[in-house]
Amino acid sequence: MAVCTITAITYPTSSTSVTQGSTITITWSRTGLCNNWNVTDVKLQSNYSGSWTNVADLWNSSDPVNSNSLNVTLPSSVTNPGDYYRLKVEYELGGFEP
Amino acid sequence: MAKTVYSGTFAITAPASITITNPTSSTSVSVGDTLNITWTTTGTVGNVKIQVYKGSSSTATLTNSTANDGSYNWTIQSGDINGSGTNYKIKIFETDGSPVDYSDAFTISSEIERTASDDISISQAISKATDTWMHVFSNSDDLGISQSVSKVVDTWAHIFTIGDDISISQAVVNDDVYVYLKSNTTHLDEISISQFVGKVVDDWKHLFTNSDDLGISQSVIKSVDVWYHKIPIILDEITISQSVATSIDLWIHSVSNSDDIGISQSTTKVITGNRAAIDDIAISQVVAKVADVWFHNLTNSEDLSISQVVGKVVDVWYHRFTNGDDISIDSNAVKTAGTWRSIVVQARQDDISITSTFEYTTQDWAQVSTNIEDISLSQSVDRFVVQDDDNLRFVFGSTVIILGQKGSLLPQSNPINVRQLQKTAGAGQAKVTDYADADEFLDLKVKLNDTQKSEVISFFSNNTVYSKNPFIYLDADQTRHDVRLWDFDSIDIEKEQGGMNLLSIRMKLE
Repeated sequence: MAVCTITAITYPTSSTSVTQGSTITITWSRTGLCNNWNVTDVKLQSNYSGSWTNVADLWNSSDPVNSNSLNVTLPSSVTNPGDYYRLKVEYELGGFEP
Repeated sequence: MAKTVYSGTFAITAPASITITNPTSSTSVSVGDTLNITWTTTGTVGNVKIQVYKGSSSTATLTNSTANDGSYNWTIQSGDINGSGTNYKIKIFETDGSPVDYSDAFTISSEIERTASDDISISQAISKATDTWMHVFSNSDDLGISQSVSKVVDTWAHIFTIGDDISISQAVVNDDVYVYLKSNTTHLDEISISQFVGKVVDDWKHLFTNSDDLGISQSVIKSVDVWYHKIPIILDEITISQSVATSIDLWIHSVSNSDDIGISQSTTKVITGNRAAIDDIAISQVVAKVADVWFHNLTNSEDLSISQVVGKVVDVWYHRFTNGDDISIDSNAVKTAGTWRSIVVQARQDDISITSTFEYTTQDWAQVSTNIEDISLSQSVDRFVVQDDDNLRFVFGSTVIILGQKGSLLPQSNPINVRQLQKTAGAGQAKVTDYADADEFLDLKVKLNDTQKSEVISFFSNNTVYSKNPFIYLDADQTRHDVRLWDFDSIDIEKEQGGMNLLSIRMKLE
């Protein structure tokens, strides 16, 4: 069986608008064998300076999650309200069962 | 092994909010004012609803939905509020209910303030304008009443600030207007009453500060009963030109400039009041009586000019003169004053000039004069009443004989005071032994020492016209002033026992 892979983040999308400080539920779709699979980090990134940089840690590997969604709380104040951001999601690949 | 995936880009916006920026806690407005309500928003806010609150209760919805453009003008109507208050607030919220914001508490006054000209115009046939009118005028022509107003107001608290505040031009039958000026009036022509006013006010507390404050041109039966009136600084403040039966019963009046009052025709009774400057009062024709009691403080020349046919100026005139030409009465005054308390305290001439045809000047004139020509009587005065305080004197060279001089006012170097010497003359001084004032003759007997006798003889020897030119002074100045009230009828000097000389003079009235 193939390793577990996120095929797409289904929320937020390019049509999403959220307010600063709000809690959003990140959702994704995945494929493969995901029994031994965890999302370890979620970072908020901004492209305000012309290149994508991390502006906030929304989740970290100390509490990995193994599901198709994750609740995170956006910063109560971002540098540029109204600007566009993206989420960087890191996860551990699932392996074969021993 | 870790792998990374990215979301699509998405917008992070500020949360929706509304912040009212006006009114603020310092805002104070009145009914009739337009209040510019302003606000800012963050996030996404659609159309908004605006309400007025007094405390926790809504008093009006100004709009159920208006564009969220940050501004809304509210012209305050009395129906929008619940009386005056300092706890009014504006509430603005998105039509779906959120976000919402309240302004600071601010003040709304339910009384109307006017700020433009022609605020009120009543042109025809109003039976009664209002019972109580709290009115603050701030521009000219605030009130114009042109026709047939039977009554303007019962109570009128009125602040004038600019000219032409009130114009009543015709046929105000009975306006029991109580005009109380809470602050100074500061502009011209504030009140103009041109025709047929039955009665202006019962009680008018009025502070004028500029010229032409009040113009009454025709047929005012009675202006006011009691007029507390202060005209402090400018000319021509009151002009009454025709047929005022009685201007006022009691006029507490402080005038400080010339031409404060001009009365040109047919005034039965003018005022009780104080005057303080040049030409304060000009009465030119047929004044039956000026005032019952006149407390009068004149400080400049020509304060009072009465040119024709004054029946009686005053009953009691408390009069303090301080400059020349205070009073000029040209002709035909039947009686100047019943009692005239006159004090000339400063050093000007011609304080009083009476030029012709007085029946008599005064019944009781207590006068203290300190200068020459305080009183000038030039023609046909049947009798000038000499009282104890008058300074009637004869001057023979350096020897002066003073009649009627009270006290110790002896300004000449070697005076002989008739009344005083009767009481106090010692050895070697002139002594009056007899003094009689009859209708036709004035008899004077004075005891002179030899030096004084020489002065008198020298005088008559060196003045060939002495029989027609005695020097009679009505004041304390040393300059000779020939009044010609009396001619010398006979003069005799006899040597008495004991070495004194008895001067006998008989003056004959002209």
